[in-house]
Amino acid sequence: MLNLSVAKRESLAALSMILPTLILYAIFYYYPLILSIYASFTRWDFVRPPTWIGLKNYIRMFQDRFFIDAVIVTVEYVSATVILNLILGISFALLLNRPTKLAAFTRALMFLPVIIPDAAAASIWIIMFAPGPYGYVNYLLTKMGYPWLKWFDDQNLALPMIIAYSIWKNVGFNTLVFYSGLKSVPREYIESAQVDGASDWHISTKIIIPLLKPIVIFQLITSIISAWQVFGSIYIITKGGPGNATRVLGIYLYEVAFEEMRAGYGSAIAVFMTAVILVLTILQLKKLR
Amino acid sequence: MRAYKWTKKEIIAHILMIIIDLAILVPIYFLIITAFKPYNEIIRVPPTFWPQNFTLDNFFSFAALREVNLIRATINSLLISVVVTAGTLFFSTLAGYAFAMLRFKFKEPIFIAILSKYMMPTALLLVPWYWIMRILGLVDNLIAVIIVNLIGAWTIYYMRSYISQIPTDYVESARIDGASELEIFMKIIMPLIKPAIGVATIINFLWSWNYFLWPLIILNSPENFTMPIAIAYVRYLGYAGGELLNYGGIAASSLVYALPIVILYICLQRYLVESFISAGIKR
Repeated sequence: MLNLSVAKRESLAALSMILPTLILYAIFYYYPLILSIYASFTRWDFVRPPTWIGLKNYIRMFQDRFFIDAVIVTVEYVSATVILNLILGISFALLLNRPTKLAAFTRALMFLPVIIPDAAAASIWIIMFAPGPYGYVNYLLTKMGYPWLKWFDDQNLALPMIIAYSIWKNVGFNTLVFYSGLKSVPREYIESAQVDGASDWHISTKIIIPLLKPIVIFQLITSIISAWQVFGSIYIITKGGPGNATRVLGIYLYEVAFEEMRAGYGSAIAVFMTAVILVLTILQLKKLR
Repeated sequence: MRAYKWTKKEIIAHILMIIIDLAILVPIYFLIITAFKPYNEIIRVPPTFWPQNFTLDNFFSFAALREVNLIRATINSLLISVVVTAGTLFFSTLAGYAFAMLRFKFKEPIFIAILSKYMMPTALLLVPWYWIMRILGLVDNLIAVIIVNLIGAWTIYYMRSYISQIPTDYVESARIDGASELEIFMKIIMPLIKPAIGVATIINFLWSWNYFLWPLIILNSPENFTMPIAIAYVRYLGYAGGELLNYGGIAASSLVYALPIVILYICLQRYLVESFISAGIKR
């Protein structure tokens, strides 16, 4: 008797504790999830009721040159930023794994760009690389005898510059994650290898990096997922321009759904973006197991 | 402790560190000096490396010229961050406790259903959110930004993990003493999870201070802009007019926007880095 009432009391308490969360989830997560998938099969402008058009949005998507271009730009952005952030993150972690004051200071400083809000960090780069002779970096270029560049306004430079920005902004995070991983590598492993006369390169690639592998894989996949959805920094720096140069999927989705008010087609793009992330997440769960 | 050996390799390593430090500090320095330069000095060739005609105009003319008020935008940003952080923590701690300590039907499936939001991209929810806000009459209203962000999948997950580490005996013995579930939560659990609340507060605050895409969609009038939307607005107004960018306005607003975070970082440096790393996330 007592047990039953305790169990009941517990269930009731649990229900009252998760109910507010469940209601919010129902309205702002589950319902939108279903609506989004439904909307991707319709033509819809937010004002008139949606019209069912079957698979047309998805068929159109793969014939849409802007969409294909956005996928290509996004893949370029994701692969470059993720690979460079990983390699530099590991290298910087090894570099900063030293007991000096300068190393400690640099570790602290490297987290500053990570903490600074995206819009403010993006502004720093807009100002540094102003596309005229008055820009700080351009002045240094002309001073050294080179012609000044248009940086983010240059069709060919814009994407590499956005990638460089992303590394400047995010590499500190990877560095500190790998650094805290390094701290957990037992000192004896490294010391005994040194006694055996192993080179630093050998110690890094054969001992330290294999031990960091789980962290590396986790970082790799979470970085891909977050880079795949990039929006804020690119919107502020180039708004996807010049031309199509930096129009990633996030920017294209925003333009389609909220500037052109094509909610149906926009939803199809969002479903596509989500499908890719789901595949990556499943891959991650499998790898970590 | 052995004396540090300054071999050739170590010297090169430290020179590399100085280069990294400069690559971070010099751009920030340029932002700061630009914020205090008048327009005609910003576009002067060669550029000045210290404001010759020091001015605070960028912080104010920014407002008058562009209909955006920096103070207003800061208040809007603060309001959103504070309410979202407090709300998320309130709901998520309660839910996290229920998932960690209480037995009830369908616990695992409900938890997984909640957790799935963590990996779901916001992109998928934007169109429906916009439509819901049209129906609720919340377009161009700060409440629209707050309300969709009260469901923190990560915070629930984090709180559940933390609360799971508390021995169940504590709770069981309190129950035998006749304490209600609410009393147990407030008197026993809350004091024990203060560190987790600290971490979750910082992370949620930094996240919400960064909100960009959804506010950009839902907030339309300058008096409702948050800081990042105000910065984007100033950036593109300069473009549309065919004139040169309002670099001073961008610099000044970014400085105001980043300052609270930088101060927070300087005060809580170690704690903040550890929070981020233990959370295993960046945004």
